[in-house]
Amino acid sequence: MRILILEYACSVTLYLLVDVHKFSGRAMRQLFVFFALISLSALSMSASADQSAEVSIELSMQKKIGSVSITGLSDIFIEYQEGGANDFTNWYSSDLMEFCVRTHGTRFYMTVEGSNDVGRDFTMIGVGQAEPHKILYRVRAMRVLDVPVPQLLYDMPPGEAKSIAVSQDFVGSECDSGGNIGLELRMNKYNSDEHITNVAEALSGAGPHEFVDTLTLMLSPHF
Amino acid sequence: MKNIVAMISLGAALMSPAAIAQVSEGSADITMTMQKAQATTSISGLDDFALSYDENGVTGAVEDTFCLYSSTANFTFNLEGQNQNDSRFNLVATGLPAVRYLPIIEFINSDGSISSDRITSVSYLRGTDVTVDGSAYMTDETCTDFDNVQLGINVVGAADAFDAIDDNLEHIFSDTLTMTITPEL
Repeated sequence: MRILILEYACSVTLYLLVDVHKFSGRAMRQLFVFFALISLSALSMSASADQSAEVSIELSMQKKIGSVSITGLSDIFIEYQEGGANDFTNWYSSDLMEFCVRTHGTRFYMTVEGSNDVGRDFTMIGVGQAEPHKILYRVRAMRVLDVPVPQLLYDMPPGEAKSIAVSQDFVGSECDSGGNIGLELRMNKYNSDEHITNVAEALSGAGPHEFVDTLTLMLSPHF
Repeated sequence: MKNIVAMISLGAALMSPAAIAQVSEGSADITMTMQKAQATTSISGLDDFALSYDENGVTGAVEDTFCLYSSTANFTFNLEGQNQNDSRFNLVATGLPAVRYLPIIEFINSDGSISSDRITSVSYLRGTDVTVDGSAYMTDETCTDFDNVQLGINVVGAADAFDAIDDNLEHIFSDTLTMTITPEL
């Protein structure tokens, strides 16, 4: 009897007892086959149990195009009647004209210009008057989002850009959830240009008297 | 071993010479199956990340839960990135500064909360082997009841790349993470 020791890759040692005295050629071939089986088994056991997985990460980066949109503008009316129900104060205000500004980022610049600006005042011109009177007025920008009552942002001097914060969460993409900014016009009873000292003086002759101006809003994104 | 000896003995008996002077031939087929218990591991449920970055920062799903399983209590974890600018993880786009990000991998408790046990933290360096004891979070290979790991992608260095963009085109920064776990027997 002899002892053959077979060692293989996975460090398993097999002791195989064989009687070699009577081994024929065929039996030896069988033993070689057995060797082959053992070797194959060793390779199989050395297979790794590692596990790998891949995940791709993509980051899309793009600067926003400098765009801003404004929707919901409408005409603004301010009314004065001498001795009327509202003639008890020096300042007369229009109703608030709400509109929607949508821009990238959280701020934008807004500039308001009139057709006949004078210093810090805007000017309405009398319609149908031989010598048209002028009535001065001012423009206020008001915040109307997330506040119980409109909140003054700025008195808007003609042509002066003001930076305004706006919540994009407040409005939908179509600004269909309401306005976020408002404009209010104010005129002082004691109005003065080179012709009149108060509004009443501008109301000579048969009325009603109409004074008009055209406001242009200019907005630009602010990042 | 007793069985083997018995089989061989039988073979030897067959091969023993007969009383007459004649060579006889016999054979013994011997087979043995030998196998150590194989450790099993699996990673499943990983989804790709598609993020966006603009003036307001990163948007998109920056976290993904998946299933990580090892039949052994301890395993070695390795996370490799494709872009090898340095030892950190980088998203790259041709001609632009790389965007650094931190892959944070955390275990998830059975109640869905994030565990304080982390596989990788902010200080993890790309390609580093770490030994993890995940026994408290392993259930089954497919995490039948809940995913047990969360991968979070934290973009931390996009400013340089963003400043370098001077057009209105979309730029894609990308990387491929390769996650490997090796059971510790």
